[in-house]
Amino acid sequence: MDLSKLSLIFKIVIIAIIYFIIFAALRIMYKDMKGGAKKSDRLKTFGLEILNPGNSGNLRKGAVIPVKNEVTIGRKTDNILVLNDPYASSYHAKVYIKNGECILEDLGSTNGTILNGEVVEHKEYLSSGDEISIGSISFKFI
Amino acid sequence: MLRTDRDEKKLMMYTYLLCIVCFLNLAILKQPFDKGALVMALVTCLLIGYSYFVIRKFFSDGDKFIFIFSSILSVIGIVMIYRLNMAASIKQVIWFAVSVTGFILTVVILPDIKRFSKYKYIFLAGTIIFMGMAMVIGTEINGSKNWVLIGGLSLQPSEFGKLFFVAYLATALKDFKNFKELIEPGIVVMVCLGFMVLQKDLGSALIFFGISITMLYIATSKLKYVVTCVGLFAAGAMISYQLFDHVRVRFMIWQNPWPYANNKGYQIVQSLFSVASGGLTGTGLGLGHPEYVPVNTSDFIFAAICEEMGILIGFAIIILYFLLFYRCMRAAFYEEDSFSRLLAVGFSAMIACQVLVIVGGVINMIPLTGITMPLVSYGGSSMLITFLALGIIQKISEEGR
Repeated sequence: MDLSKLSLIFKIVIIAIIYFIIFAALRIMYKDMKGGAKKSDRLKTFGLEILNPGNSGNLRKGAVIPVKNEVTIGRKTDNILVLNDPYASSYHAKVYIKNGECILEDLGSTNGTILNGEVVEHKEYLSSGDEISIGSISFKFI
Repeated sequence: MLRTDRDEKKLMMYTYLLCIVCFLNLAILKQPFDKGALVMALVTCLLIGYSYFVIRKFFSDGDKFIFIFSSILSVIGIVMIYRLNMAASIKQVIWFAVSVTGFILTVVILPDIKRFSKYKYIFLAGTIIFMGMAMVIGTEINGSKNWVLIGGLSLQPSEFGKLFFVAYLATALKDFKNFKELIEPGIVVMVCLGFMVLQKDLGSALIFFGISITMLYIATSKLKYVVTCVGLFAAGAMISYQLFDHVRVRFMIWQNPWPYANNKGYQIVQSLFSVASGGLTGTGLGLGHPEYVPVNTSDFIFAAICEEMGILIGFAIIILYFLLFYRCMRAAFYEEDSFSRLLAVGFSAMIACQVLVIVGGVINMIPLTGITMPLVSYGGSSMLITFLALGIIQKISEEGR
């Protein structure tokens, strides 16, 4: 009968598609595992350019700090960006990327973080050209 | 990033293809060509495509595979339900739309998962209220007193209870230091299990146990607590076996269903026949007789799928669940905050336990307990809950990477 042949074809096609899906998925998982935590080629890259290094000897005017995943800023040495400034708190602020947008978050610092002349309350989205200042040190977001 | 994008698109193409081929099969089978099936295929594809688009566009950091795998499973479910019961499948598509909306809203609205770790007692209250709700205003359907009817909608409050339960355990176990901190969650777990046994909902009891033991192990990483819990559970199971008749009946059927084939063991015997008659590749959609299996759209959908699409698809479904579970656990691994991590572990354990319990039950490997197969089975509250849980995991995967 014609119908039963048709049904046989459909049956095999459906099974084939499902196993194709599983095969493709497994290959993606394999790539993912092999790649490890490496996630390099982002579409956009962000960075912080130092405008005014203040008293920090480790910073240089015009240097660019690349922002990948997360950059923590503060006076303690376990921050990624260490500031030698009396007005900076131990863990002052952090800049991180989420969904392709860069966010500046103040971590409850004593003297505040200033973005384009205004104090950051909690979190603020960053856009290119923004100026961030912490104590006497200032950055330009690029 | 670009490369995984292409892989995702390929998987999405396969998903659409699967959806269209399955419904085309169903459409051709009906003597006057069934246009309804094609409409269903189109609606489902559009729903999946649009949601995928939203997630990819605005939340590109999250794990998109969670959504892709869950939509493949939903597609299989919708196809099977359409073949079994057309009216139910239309409702299922509506529920699918609601759930996907819920999924996206969870991702959009929830601010920062970490902030929820403070509301321990709110979660505790939610758990107890939803667990106890069916005891007070519940009605009995299919032998379990765990349904609540609200204005024509019947739903299982224990499904919602599960979300609160996982959230509560995550808050309670997040900074584990010593044994004393385990007493309070221990009591809560026991109360919940007690409620479930009293409502004759043994499947949910098993799931709750599975969730709590997984989370306990992840939080404490001490084998002795797990062994103690298993011991306590065995003791509890023995006591409830002695006390309650329905537990004894289930156990008796599990040991040997054949003498009761026409009365108490009817469901499981029919389900075994159904799986066996399908064989490796199945009878083909619409050509088997899954209508002999009772409750074939929800609890026994796995049997119906195995009959008509073959055990190969049955295996494929289990593999897909495993992949989904892997993606969910991966989100947990990459997360640093212990509350979010426990939350992701709890939700993925919830889905995995549910699958194991129902698949094991349908093929009589463990005593049968009536629960739904997440995403595949017909059932609004179950689907909504699963998608909400996946939405939270999606949110967590955004932070972790």
